[in-house]
Amino acid sequence: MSDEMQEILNDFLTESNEMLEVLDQRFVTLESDPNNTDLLNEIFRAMHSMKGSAGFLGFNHLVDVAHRGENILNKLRQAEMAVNPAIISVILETIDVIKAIMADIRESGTDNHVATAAIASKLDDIINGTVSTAAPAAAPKVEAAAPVQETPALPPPTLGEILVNEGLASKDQVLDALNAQQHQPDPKTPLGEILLQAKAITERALDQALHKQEKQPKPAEEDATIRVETKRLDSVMNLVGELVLGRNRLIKIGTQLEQNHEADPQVRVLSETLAQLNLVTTDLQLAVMKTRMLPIKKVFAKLPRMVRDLSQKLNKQVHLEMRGEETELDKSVADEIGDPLVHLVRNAIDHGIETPAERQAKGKQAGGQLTIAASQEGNSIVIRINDDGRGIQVEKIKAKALAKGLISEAELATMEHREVLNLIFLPGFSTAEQVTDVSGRGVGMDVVRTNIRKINGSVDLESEPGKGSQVIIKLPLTIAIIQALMVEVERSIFAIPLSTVIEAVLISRSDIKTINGREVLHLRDRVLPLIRLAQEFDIPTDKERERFYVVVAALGDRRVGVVVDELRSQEEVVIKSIWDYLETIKGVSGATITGEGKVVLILDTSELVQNAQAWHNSGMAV
Amino acid sequence: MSATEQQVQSHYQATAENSADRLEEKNGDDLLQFVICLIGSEEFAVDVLSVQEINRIVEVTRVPKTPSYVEGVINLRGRIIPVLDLRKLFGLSGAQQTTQTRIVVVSVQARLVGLIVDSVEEVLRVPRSAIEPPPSVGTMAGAEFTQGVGRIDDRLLILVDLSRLLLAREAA
Repeated sequence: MSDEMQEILNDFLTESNEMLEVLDQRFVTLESDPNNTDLLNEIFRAMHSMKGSAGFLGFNHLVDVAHRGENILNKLRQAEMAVNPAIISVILETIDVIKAIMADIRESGTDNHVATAAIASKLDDIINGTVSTAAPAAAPKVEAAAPVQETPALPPPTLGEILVNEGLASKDQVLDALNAQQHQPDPKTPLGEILLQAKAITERALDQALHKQEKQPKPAEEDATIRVETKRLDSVMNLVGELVLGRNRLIKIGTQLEQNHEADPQVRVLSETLAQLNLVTTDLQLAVMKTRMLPIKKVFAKLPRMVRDLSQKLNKQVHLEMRGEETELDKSVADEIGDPLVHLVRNAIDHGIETPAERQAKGKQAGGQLTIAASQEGNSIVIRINDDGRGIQVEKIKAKALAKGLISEAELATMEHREVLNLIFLPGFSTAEQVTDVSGRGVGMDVVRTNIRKINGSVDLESEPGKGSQVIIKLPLTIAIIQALMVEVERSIFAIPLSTVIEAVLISRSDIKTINGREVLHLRDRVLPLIRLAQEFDIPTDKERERFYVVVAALGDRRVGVVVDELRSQEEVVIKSIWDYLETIKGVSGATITGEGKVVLILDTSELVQNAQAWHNSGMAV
Repeated sequence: MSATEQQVQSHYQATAENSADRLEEKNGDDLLQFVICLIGSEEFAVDVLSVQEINRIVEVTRVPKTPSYVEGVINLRGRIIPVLDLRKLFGLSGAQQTTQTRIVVVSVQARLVGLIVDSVEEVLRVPRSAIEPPPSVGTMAGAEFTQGVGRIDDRLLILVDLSRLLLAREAA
């Protein structure tokens, strides 16, 4: 059963149980106040809504019983029948049967295990008037109670009952033993032992019976799952974040101690303890992350309907295939990825997949194939959206980008095929020849990329004209804790998200060239625009250095070299919320606390890359 | 609790008792309590209810592209809070940090902000009647962030309007 279904079911069970509790009391009140129509109406509505929910969930036995009960209630309500104890008894029995069915549903997920025929016929009798409603209904009550006794809602059977039922001992033997037990002084010998001593049963039979007793379903009071507010999980995650920071700090201190007092046995014990703490913290972090994980199915769920509606509207045939639906991702990531995904699927159907006639003319099958596949690759979730449509013509993109002034001709000339394709993610770009109400207003792809970057993800496009396109979305497993490269600029430390770092190279000052007044680096036949962090952030520089590190950061196909003084370390950092004011600072996406307890700003690589490209382009255009 | 905090707290308690003694005599029931901070030669008063704690100066991480009075951010037991330099904000000339320099952590509209002051003097009870509106024409330091002026004997306390500090931040 899917999680979603289980959730609905749990809600249904909780609600119904509450309702049944209330109903019990109401009926008792009704008996003493039979003419209270308000009360009758209330009972009727409760029964009716339960029937509705049960019908929705496909519990037909339950619906059947509730329906018959409801019929009677309706007659009582409309004063076609008078309330009397006989009717109330039968209705109370009905409630018992319903409770039994509920217990069955909780246990097995179906409602097939409870016999309902007896109660159904009894209810029918009342409706048809075959049972004298005036007569006290003592006899039927006993009969009707029978099916209830077979249900798992009752306490588990005793050992004696099992032995007798299984034919392992006779009823008399068990009764004798019970008698003997009763006459014993405390502490009493267990029943099984008495029977063994009396040679009534073999040891094997006893084991068998005891085993069976254990296997009896426990009273269905507790659920295997509990519902927790996301807010609480968030606060647990925050605390774990604090713990990770604390651990990082302890480990730093421990390492220093180890270097200075290598011989001290206490330091060695401390290191061992720290190593253990390290492991446990990592495990805890993973465990907490897992509680926040959702299968991507939840996000995918709305796609089939959308694909169906959209393809009908556009007179296209689309076959949607979804793979890897069980892939799990963090709730916060799942919340953010829904809209971009919808947009990309829309685009694929609107722009990618051709009409059946067009497809057949090209020798393709009339129906287009759209595949959405999710998988986990290392520390990322990768979603691939494939269509076998017309693909994207690079020349068209080039022309469009030039026409819209998004890029200069000089730069286009140096761009690779994939770089050109990814121009469609620029703000204000749309290749649709006609603007439809489905997509093509030129805001979509830009927004898609912005949303995905917001959660530290990336999006990439590949396409082959005539064969189709593929959009690849890479998402982090979680967004609260990331790996970062710590760099130093003029004694200030900054963190660069490792997911955006391609490499780091050591260069000397003479390696830096200028093109149109912009600093660049030739790195393996590629011209890399450079950003000097010191300049970008107005950090005063003492003197010009001779050697620099260049951290090559990338987002999709765009790269930029971030010039820093030193590389410090790779650290797991927890993104902390900072003052609202700071969140608007360009180039800074947040802050964290290092192992030394210092606050370090986290660079917003996407912002830096974009800035550099903009600079670069304007430089080219001059 | 760190040594610093302990020290701060004991200092805090000592000054609180001190001023409590003094004000017992006045016996007024409508008293307001202020933390008195010194910036240059001026005494600034911050409502004691807004003050969460007073810390010794710690290492402040500078944040680029912020107004000059934003000193940066600090790590307050796992929370990252901004720190403003009141000297710069009030347009007083800069001074070197000394052992007396403190960060007064105040809560403004449910947000924590650190304020750097030259020193923290005491906690003072001021009768409401001793508080006057800020002078309409004034060259007083930090006039725009002033809520009022308190006169105790021959002392002049400048009551800081914390919500204006936040506005300054937003306008910046």
